[in-house]
Amino acid sequence: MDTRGQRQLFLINRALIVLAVAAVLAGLFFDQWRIVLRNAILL
Amino acid sequence: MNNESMKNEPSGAQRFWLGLARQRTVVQVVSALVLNSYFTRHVTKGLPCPAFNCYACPAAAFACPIGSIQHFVGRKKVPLYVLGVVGLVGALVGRASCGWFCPFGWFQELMYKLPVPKLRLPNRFNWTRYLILAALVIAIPFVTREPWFCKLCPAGALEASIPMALLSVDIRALIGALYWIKIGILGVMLFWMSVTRRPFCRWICPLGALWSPFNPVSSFRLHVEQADCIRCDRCQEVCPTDIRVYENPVSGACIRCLQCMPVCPVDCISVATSGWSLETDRTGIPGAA
Repeated sequence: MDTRGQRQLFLINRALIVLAVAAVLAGLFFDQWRIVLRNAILL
Repeated sequence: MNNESMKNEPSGAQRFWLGLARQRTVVQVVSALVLNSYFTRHVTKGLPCPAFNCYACPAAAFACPIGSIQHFVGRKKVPLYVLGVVGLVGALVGRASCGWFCPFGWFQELMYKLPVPKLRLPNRFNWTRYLILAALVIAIPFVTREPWFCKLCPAGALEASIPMALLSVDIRALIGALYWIKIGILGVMLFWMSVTRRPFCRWICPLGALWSPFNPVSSFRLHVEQADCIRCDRCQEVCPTDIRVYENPVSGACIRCLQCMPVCPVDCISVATSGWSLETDRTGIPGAA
């Protein structure tokens, strides 16, 4: 793959990582960690 | 020219990945133990498991991402936290979790070692896992508010339904038709696993379906030096998902188990780590192998 293609992949990869971390933080803000825990413990 | 003399001298990073590939079974055993470590469950069950492992299993220490997603969907909530964790794992390693950490994936590999006649199936219809994700994990739980994938899941039958029924008289009293349907599905899967490589991962797993689209863009990727490849298909012979790695090294079906690397007679398969490795820094090209 050419350098430009590699650069694009690199940027998409880092954008996805940032998005995923943002989603985790947003989920934690809405206390979703506790919902997951409670649901899993109750099984 | 024999195969050994055709091999290129492996780089330091290549030697590291080759060494790691040979230790995969150890990683799978440790992962199965950690994910089912029991004692930490009161805290760690709030964390989605980076693999497919039923959280109703009495020993499970983490939450099943698929079970958790269904729970949120049933409550008409967006599972941001779970999707974030799944997305983070996908963006970093793609489907490597399936190849290295998934206890059910490992179990399928063990079943395939049984000395019975084998059936090789093409990957042509492996889009069915997306259908299962859309129907049983999202659409039907959204309408019925019930986790329908869990109700039919063969991993759940093996890790939770059977042990729970054996451990508890109360649970045994609740056994009904659905339990036997689930056991029937497990029976079919056990037979299928013994004759075909990782059928659950290839055609059914909704977690694999979530991670598959990350494979082309994840940090951890396979790279094939097409000019060196001799199309001998040794990679396909050892591949748990039966793919020709050289046709598409970033295929959504690839579980990044690296088993193709040590058997390649010309060492044309390598790992690209998208800016995380020293070797990438040396070339100056992010994502270069």
